[in-house]
Amino acid sequence: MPEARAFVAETTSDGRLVYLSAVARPAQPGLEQALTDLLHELAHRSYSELHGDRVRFDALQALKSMGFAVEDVEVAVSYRCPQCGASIQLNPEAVIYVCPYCGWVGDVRGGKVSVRVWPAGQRELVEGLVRGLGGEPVSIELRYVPFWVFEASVEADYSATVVYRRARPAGGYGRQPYETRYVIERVRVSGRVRFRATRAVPARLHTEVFGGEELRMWVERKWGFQQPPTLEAGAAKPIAPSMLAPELSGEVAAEVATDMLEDDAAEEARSDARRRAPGYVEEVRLEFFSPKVSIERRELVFAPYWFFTYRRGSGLYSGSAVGSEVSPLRVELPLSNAERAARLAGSWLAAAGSGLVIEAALRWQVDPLMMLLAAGLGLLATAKLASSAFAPAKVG
Amino acid sequence: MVACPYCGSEVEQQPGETVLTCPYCGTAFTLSGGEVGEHLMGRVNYTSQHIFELFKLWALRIPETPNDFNSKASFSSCDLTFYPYWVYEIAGSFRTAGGVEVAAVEVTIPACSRLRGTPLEKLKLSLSGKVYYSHRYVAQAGGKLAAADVGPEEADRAAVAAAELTVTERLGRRLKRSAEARAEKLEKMERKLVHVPVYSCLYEYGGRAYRFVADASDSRILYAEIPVEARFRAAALAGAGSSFALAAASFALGLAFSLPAFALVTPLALAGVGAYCLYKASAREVVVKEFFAKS
Repeated sequence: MPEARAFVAETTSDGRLVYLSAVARPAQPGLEQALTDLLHELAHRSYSELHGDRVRFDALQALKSMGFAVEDVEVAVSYRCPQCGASIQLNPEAVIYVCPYCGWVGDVRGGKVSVRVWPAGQRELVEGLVRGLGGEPVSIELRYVPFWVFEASVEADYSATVVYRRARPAGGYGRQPYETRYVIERVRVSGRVRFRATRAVPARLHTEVFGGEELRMWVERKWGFQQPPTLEAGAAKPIAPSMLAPELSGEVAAEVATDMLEDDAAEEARSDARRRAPGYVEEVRLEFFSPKVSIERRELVFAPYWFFTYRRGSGLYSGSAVGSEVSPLRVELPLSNAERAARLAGSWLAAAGSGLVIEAALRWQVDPLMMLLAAGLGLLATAKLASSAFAPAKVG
Repeated sequence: MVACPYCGSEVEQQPGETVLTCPYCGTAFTLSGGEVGEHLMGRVNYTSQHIFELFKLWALRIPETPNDFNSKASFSSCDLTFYPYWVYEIAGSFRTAGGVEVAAVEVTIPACSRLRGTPLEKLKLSLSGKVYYSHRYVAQAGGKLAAADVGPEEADRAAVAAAELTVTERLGRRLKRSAEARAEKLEKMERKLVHVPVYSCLYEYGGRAYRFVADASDSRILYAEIPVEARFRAAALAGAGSSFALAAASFALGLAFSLPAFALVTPLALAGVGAYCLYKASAREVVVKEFFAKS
């Protein structure tokens, strides 16, 4: 069946730079122009709406009302690079992207975004790391994982009740002169804590990273002493296919960071209250807590992350590494048969030891509590050693 | 048949379905004909083959996975189903024992009762990346639609309770004590119906079939059955045999040397080790119900 086609460059109602295309069947005189005009009208809807059945239904109704005998309409949407005009297909989750054609970096609304990227180490370094583990590399994959890094100052007012134990020397008539008694007391303290902190938040909705928390902590540490250089378009183009598109906007990530920092402030307030108690603190109960987080700097950074698998003996293991120096993040290491046998034998020895301890305790009339404690520890060791004997790999 | 409130098409009701989806315009509506709010969907960002490759890489990180899993596991089949969830954006004040907490939370309530008790029940969704629903897209992706049988009123009640629980947990984490929160004044309570694409796949390893379930939008593995390597099972069996033999020997030793406590405790502990080894030897698969991001 002949088709009428239309294609327009537009900006959606929520500000996204897109190409809209439509196909209507069957073709008929004037339909292409009508379809083009219709696409300009449809662009007044949001990016999300343009994916739905409703927009197609409305388009069909509109064309019919103009007198066209149209049976079917398809509407498609893709992003438009504001620099080179390339049509780019992205997951709807993506909020920032690197154009693979010209290296432009920006958000889906066409706003340029400055990003920083730590340089990746050479592939040979990863191979060296694997050989250092006594294995042969099977697969090595480089990905640049996006993080939002926030520098913030945090301030929180608090009041808390601190329960503490205080030594009170007791003496005098009828008592031992150096007797010490402990009393439980409460004191209400209030104050303000202030600190500055750096927090990294993964910019992916679900970071598919082996050692994700280790990578996040690496970003926070590395940011403290070596901030990465800004990525220029020329350098962005070759690495664009390896860069995971950020799916979390800076604003949403800031909310996550603020939540983390407020938790940190509560911990700091508890520590402050603890320091102010004149005895051994047993409990700190925050009664009032009012945190204020001021984000002073926000940057989008990409960390070079290597995921590799390697073979050692008959086993296949995986690992991950980061940075130009290819520091290992998390690596699976084989557990030798001798280690397994030793762990199982250890559990047998612990079982035998437990029995002997109880036997000896009963013969020599040791305190039953001590006896139970010793036997319990022996049995616990038995269970732990037995379960560890079957772990097929160590993760370090 | 129920008429769609937007386009007027007659929509067939599935058994038990309380929220219908119009296959022509994508509108979601109740049996009484009322629209239920925006109807969104997650897009399929991974093919079934791609998800299987990612699954194999993920499975390698599970300790029991056989070393030849990557090369020997073969893909059998995959079903794509779009499951309905209610996603709420809730903001307002919550009353706690210590005062009032102002909070904004996002909660997810399954809109399909058969998800209860499955790994999909606890799925937490974000509205980020969700687009308007397209039935044509579902058909083109080869998917099927799960019927929504949890109505908006029931979901609203569950959402408020879930929001209270979220705020309670948040405060508990911060204050390090139980701080029950009750919704006092909700300034915002926006409800959206979201259909999420989920792959349920079968694969074969060593002549047996195993299953895994993955989110087709973001590749999270939601449920996985993974075979246990044969040599581990053999080693476990040998360990069990040795442990039981040692248990018998220690019992005899205890009796021979008049050590009654030893004759009781040590054989029991060794038999426990043997039973554990036997359990490991008998497990042909491990079941993992954790999200990819948490592994």
